[in-house]
Amino acid sequence: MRKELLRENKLSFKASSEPELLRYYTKLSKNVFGVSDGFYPLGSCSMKYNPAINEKVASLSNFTELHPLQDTKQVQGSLKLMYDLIRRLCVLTGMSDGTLAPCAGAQGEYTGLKIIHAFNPKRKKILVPDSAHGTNPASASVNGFQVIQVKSNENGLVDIEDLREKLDSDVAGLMLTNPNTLGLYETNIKEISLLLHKNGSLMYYDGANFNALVGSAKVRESGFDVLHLNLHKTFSTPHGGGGPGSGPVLVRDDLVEFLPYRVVKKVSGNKETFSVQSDKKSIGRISMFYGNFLVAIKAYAYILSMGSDGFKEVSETSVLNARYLQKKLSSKFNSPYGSNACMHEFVLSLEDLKNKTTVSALDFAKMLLDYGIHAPTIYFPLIVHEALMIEPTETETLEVLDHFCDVMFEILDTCYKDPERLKKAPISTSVGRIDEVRAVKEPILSVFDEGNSL
Amino acid sequence: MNKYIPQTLAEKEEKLRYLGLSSSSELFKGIEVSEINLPLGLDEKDVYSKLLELSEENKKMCIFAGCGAYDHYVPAVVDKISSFDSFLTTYTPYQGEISQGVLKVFYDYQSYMVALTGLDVSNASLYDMADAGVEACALSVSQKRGHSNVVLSGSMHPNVISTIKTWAEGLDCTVIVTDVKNGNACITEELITDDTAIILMQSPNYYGIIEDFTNLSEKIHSKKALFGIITDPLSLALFKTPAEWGADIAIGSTQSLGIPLSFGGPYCGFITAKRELLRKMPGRIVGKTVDASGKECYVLTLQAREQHIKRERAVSNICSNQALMTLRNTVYLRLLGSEGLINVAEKCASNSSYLAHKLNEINGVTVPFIDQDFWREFKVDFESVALRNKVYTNLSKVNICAGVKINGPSLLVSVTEKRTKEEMDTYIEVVRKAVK
Repeated sequence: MRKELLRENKLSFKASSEPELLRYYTKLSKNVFGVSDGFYPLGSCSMKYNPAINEKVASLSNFTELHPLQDTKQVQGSLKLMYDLIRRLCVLTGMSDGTLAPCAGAQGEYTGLKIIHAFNPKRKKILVPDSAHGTNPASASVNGFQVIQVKSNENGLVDIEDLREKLDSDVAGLMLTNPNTLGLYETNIKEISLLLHKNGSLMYYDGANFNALVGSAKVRESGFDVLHLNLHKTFSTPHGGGGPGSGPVLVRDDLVEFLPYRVVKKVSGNKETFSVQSDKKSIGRISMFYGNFLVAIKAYAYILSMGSDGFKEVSETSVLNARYLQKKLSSKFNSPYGSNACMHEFVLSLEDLKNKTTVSALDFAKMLLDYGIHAPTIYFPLIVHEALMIEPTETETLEVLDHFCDVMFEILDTCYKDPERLKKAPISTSVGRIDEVRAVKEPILSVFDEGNSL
Repeated sequence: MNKYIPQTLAEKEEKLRYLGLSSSSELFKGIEVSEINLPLGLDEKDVYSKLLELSEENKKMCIFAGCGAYDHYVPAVVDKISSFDSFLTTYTPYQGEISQGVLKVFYDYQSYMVALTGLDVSNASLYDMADAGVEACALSVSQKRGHSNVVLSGSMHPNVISTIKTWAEGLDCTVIVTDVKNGNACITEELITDDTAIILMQSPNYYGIIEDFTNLSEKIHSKKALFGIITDPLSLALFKTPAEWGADIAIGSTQSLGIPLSFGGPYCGFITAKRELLRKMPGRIVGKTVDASGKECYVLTLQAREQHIKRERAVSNICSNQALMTLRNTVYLRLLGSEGLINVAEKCASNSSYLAHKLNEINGVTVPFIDQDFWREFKVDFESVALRNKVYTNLSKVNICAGVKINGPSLLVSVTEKRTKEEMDTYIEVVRKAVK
């Protein structure tokens, strides 16, 4: 090797023995809150139980030791699995075909919007409701679209009049989460789809809240043309601390040709074989290989375990649990738009409480941590002030739901009796309330910023 | 009772009664429900058998293929720790007070990436190498307003080039791909103009060659463009770092550091950069701070860059990262230490050198870049596509995946530290017989 190509500053960091390593990470893992550690009512995240069998099958060595560029003859099992997974996701949604290439929901959104662009290349606008997830406008923006916000009406649903006003010949599509982030089903969905389709625009379904519908309703039947699902939400694959996820994209029949590289096809013939192909009109490549394949295996195992009967129970129980909680909590909390019964999640507003007691949604969330409960999603959706967004999922017992309500009421009492206690929360965790402002002002982002070494 | 849904019939009825409903179907009033035509759910043992059967339809080979996915040994303890249930099932650590463990993992990861690449700051990971390529270009176009050209090395992994091309239209930038001469990217003066936002090179490149970037950063910076390098962090145990080459950004995949092949994913993309680019960095970043009582702790920081705050004005639409993969990376690096990592990288160098030289000695087989500095991967040319395919097939018969077939009568062959001398000698013998 030529010397001028070699590293100048010698790399230097310590090695650790295995026993030390296990102690170090075991200790760290005790300061992490997973689904197995307690109730996790994080709205729009579907923090459900992650089945053990999924992990077992995803660690089979004939999957983990397989190279993505091996000859397709040698990887038929994986291709068949991917093909069959897409087929089953199509059955659940009513779509025609799809791709597992997107590594996460945001990449799925990007892919779906790119397909909408391919279908309607001249149109420059994407409509997004004001209650949408932040990724929706961000994904539209990185696709080069102009983002137009559509208002919610007094019932928390898409304001049809506002939609009509904003719908013009430059609109490529509408991105919608259904049920929306307030946990409400867009009851006018067919009318909305019709409006968009008459305008030559497409309907995009953000699958973040698909848990409310899986096994009960097909998204295609309400007029959606393109969608992404989150295997790490609805399909029980673990979140892993923020990834890896998987965001498959499924489309209606006439959009199949735009799917990204590379689509798994069944080769006609006597023996069942699979190949990977790309259509000439494909939007191109969006990730390195086949996406997060091991995540797809876990979702596939889950789909086999649940079946049509299991999924029906998933959506029904997730809605039943949320509605049960909503009703119980509404006795003492303000649930805006609450007159419409929620689906799998709902939102509470602590705005009044804050005015009366100065206790904010953040304080309230931090206090829940002291009770061994993960905080709900807070300050979202943006259209609800001091929001707590609560999604119990179907994998919690009645006992847990009732306990959660008791805790919520107890904290509410404390808000009036001792609001300072909430400002101090949490006090039972490994560290107290974190100074986030300081982290931004003086960013210390590695041991080297501290003047230390590894 | 479904074993994942802990609800007795009595409890279900109790909840329904509380809501004043008589059946679950009333929960979906006003919603068009449909029959879902899936088979009924299977028992766990049947699920296992079915998945085992599918896995056995794959053929496990002795892997000499690379091209962005490398067959390194993954120590058992990496698998063990990355399957700790709390790490596995936790969400993004937005609630820092109950997430110090995973935040510390990200912080360690950021520190290791800074140490390896020599640059100032790292984020807490991206999806994969192609995504990192896209984000590097997006960052550059945003940082260098008015510069809309991104110049990509022609010796870069083609999947990264094609992914960036997919994104280019939305990012409003023009992609220019350089020529390749003798396996190296040709960066001519004309390619670096006042319109250039970034020059993105790769080393070790697609052909495994360690490219020489002497004087390149001066040329790029004189035109106020950014200099990015795609690299493999394992190679940085031996070779000049992006910082030492004067780069502003380094990106790539951390798959080599404790992540199994897994048929292409999940892997993990990384990005490190000079500090002045920090506010344009995509994705999650962890910082060290204190809690209310002054105790040191970690937190997700600089979130004003991100989509959940900035929506359509965010620096990227990325929402998650590859958290669990960064755990694998840090466990791997902490176990090996720098000495261990250097040993692995050296073994890759000596193994690939051995096989390349032996193959080059065979009549009818050429390793065209044998006289250049290469690492872990190299190109092999045969006299015809038919001969290349024969070699590939014959090696398959002895359970060896010969490499990756690329354009022309060629193979890209990768040899990691995992390959034994016996495996390489078998490879050589099969090739020798096939081309005779």
